[in-house]
Amino acid sequence: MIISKQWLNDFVSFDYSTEELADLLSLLGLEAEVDTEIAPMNHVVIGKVKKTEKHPNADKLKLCTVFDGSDTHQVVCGAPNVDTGQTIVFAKEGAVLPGNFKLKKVTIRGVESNGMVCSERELGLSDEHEGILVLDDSFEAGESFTDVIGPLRASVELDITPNRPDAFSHLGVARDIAVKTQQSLTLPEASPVKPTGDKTIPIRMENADDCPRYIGGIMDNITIGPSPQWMVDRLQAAGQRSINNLVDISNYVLLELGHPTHIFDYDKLDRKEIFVRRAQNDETIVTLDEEKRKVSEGQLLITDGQTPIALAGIMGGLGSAVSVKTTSVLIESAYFDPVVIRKGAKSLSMQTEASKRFERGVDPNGADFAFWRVVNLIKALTGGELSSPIMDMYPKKIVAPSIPLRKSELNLIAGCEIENTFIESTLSSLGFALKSGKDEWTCIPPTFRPDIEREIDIIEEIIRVYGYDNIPTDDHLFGPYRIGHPDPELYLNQFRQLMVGFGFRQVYNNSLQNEAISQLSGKTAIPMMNPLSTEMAFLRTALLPGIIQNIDFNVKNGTSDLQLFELGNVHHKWGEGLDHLDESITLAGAVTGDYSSNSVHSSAVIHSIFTIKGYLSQMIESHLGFRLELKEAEHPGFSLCWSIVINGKAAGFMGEISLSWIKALDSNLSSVFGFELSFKPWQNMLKGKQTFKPINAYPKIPRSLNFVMDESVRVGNVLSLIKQKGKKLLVSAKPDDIFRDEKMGENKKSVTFTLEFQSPVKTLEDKDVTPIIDEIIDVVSNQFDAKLRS
Amino acid sequence: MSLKDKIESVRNQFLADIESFPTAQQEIEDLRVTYLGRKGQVASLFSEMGSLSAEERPKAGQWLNQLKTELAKQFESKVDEMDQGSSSHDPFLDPTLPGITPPLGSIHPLERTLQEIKDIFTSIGFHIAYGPEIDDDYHNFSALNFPEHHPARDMQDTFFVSPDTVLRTHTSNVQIHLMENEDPPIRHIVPGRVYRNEAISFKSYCLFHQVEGIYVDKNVSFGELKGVLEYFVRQMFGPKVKMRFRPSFFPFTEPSAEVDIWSTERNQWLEILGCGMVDPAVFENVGYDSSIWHGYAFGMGVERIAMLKYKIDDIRHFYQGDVRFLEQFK
Repeated sequence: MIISKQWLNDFVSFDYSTEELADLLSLLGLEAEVDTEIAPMNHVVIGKVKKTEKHPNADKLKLCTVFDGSDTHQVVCGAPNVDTGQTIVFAKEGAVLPGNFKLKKVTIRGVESNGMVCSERELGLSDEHEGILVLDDSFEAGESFTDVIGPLRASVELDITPNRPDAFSHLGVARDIAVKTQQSLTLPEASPVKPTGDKTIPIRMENADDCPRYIGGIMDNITIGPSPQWMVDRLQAAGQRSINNLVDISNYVLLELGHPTHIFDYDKLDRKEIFVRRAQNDETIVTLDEEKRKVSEGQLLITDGQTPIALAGIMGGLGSAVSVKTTSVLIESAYFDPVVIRKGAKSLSMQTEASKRFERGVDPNGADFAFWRVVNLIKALTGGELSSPIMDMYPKKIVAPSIPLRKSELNLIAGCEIENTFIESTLSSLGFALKSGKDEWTCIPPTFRPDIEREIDIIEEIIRVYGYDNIPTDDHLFGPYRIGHPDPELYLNQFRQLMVGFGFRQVYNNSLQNEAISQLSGKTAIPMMNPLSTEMAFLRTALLPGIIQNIDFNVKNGTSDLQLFELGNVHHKWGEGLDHLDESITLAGAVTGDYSSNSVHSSAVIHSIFTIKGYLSQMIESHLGFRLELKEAEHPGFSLCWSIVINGKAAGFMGEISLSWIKALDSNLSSVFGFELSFKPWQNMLKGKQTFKPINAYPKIPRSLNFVMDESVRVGNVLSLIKQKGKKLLVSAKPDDIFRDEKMGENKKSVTFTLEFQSPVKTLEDKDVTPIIDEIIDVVSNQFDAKLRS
Repeated sequence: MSLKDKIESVRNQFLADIESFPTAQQEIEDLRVTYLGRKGQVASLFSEMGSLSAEERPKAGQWLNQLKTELAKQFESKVDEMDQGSSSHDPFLDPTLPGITPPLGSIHPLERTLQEIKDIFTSIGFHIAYGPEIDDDYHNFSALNFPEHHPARDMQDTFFVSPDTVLRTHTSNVQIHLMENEDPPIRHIVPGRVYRNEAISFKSYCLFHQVEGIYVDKNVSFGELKGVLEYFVRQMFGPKVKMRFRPSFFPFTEPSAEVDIWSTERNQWLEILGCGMVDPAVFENVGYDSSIWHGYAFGMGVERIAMLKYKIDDIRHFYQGDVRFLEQFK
């Protein structure tokens, strides 16, 4: 809400700059920013347009003679609304306008122009640039623009929290300033007016819970016209345009007191009656914004006994709206149930100045004050007369609760001692009624503070006004200790470190994806009921698609060798309801391009399924010491695919990313390899304790075996057999060369295996190793039809 | 010859001999024995000390020790010199060629920032708790004192999975789970991913990462909350940073505050976290007796802190996976 500084001054006196005002309010809990503050501008003055004539060489331009209080200037002006006799803002030669726009003497289409008649935008007041700013004629030519308009327009914008309905008004904001600066608050003129007639209108409510209070009053002999300049200025400062005196009054009172009122054209009411009721299904009403709205039981209506004439607390109806011809009105000042208004407005997707206030809670006991304020203003500004008594239907009197306040609790929460005198004066000026006991009070909050229901709410009020900065900081950072490592996800750190050590960069991707991408993994993705867009309508079921998109993005931006990983949650559903949703922490990595590039030292090694296999083997086998098995598998994401099995638990997949995924991700990448690993199946294994194993200092005996075998024989199978036969003494075995030669025959390969033997208890001798080697040669030759090469 | 002259003569002879230092092991050893061996020249000069007078002896001892140390030192340095020069490397080795470089990985800036936040709080005794990203309305809202049909619900635009199930809008849902499962006192921070149904722009994204903190004990005060957060802010942004606590509103804390830090660059206050004393209604919802237990809670956005710390101007950078962004975070 935009708050005019000058308007506040009606109720409380202060002399702050706009900046200081914003700071003061922020520190009271009303978050404020400077909205409009006119910086001092030299050579910008009030001017009078003495004469306007057509520009000799341009149809759309006018030649104006402007008086600046001492001299007249010839100015070329393009604004459609400039006219003789207007009071305007004149920027003279030498003036510097916002945006560092310097005014110089110029020649426009052959005619000299000295200075400029300004629009709001050129003055930095608003974005309005349709025409020039026309001021009230009471301003005198030559007065400094900053001096006379500055104070009128200075304003702050408040971001009001839901617990402060009272701050949706100038009076409410002024009250906080008065409390903080220990002054009394001056209320606006709202004395009861003696009626000149005895008209009445029956007022009924269907349900007093929906509408606990409804005040009506009839006024006649109204003359619609423009609002006085002070009201126009006020509304403008608060960000609203003036319409006419009658409409402005209702808006003015809303901004001033925070209590929405509504003015019906009395003559347009078909039946002279007010009945507040819930809408029936399929009823319709055309509202002031000329929308035909279908309403239902959720909405509360003001009716004339039959037809709806307003959406209660939200917007008036078009049929009963005031117009320039209006002479008689019915004034409504009511209190509606906040939840009813909120639900009603929400289901219609409407939010108006009135509904915003009603749904937060206006003051039920301030309805009469608002009524009299409106009556006073109508009388003063339109000549209208009150021709009915105030008709105040208040079947359900709303009273504030009595709340006990203990000083001990206040001090405990604050962490310091706050004086009784401060407590009492603060609460009284906030509008509380107090009864004192010994270091305790019974407090009745004002009904304009419906948020205050409990002791803690009162404590907050006192501390807020006391000032958070005045509460001493306790710099002893104590608290109870707790056994165990503080981070239950500590185990994940090693994987981040390993991946970074392998040369991967970590990414964080959006969890929300479109349906097609989210379902790529074959799992059922969880949809949003209210997505931002179809592109972000489902939760991801896998991390790899996001990483592949990252790779695609980077390749398109000129990086061809990439190693990226993500560690994050994925979700899927396997039924309905919260119990059938799965969330699991997952690690995925994908690579493309070179593992190591061509250089003067060696030729490039390109990424393949073997680099991925290498990362997994280092991570699972070498680092963790777990058993890693890769089993051939089927997965939509991979064209070559293996399932990752850790200590017997299936934990994920690895392989070459399939073309179908790459196409689905709108990419034309090739040779992308990756893995995705879920921690859930084997997380428990990561919590085991590590223990030291004695270092084996006995020498290792190396042996090399070279078999010629069929190309179809898989080296891994041979290796498994070797390991099986090598028993405990064989500590390592790996193939380290594959050689092909025509001499060996067609489709044959020669594979060299390097074996190492070691005993934990003695130095091995040939006689210990030879029998094992012999057995290995024997079984490998037999099982794989392999021949030992010497 | 006086002893002093003899010393000088041995020194000169030694210097001449090591000038053309031998390469063969045996010759080197012979040279060492000749001068520094048990029966070498230096030792024999020491044996001449016996013939000197008591007044001369200390002086002579000093000279001889000097000689011995000097010769030993020079000998060793010759040996070292030779060892270094002896490896038979390629005479055409070109050390100006580039090195063989392993690829560089990097930790995401949000991960780094989160780790920093975790370190600061665990250093003063906080533990860490985690919880679900998808939760029921009760844990995300109602138990945190967001009444149904209350404008407070508009403060957080929510993604719904079902009418009663949401993507959590804050990690505060975990404080409810935590208190439901454990008796006070508790003292935890809760990091995690949270979601807001907000249009994506340079300053807001449909998700972000939050760290919430909660401390529940007897006699916990606002003064202590200020202490903990001042410690955090100064650790994070430097000891001189100017900060303020400003009254605000959150349904699950009362009194509530927002913490701003002063940006000298932008010449304005920047909001960095929200906090307050745990609302008694929250305690009642989890079965804690609010007449005994008090507490404070706070919450901050990891993105916001990372953006301030690293001067990142667009939140979308975090989720783009652009290596030109990622490689900047060492």
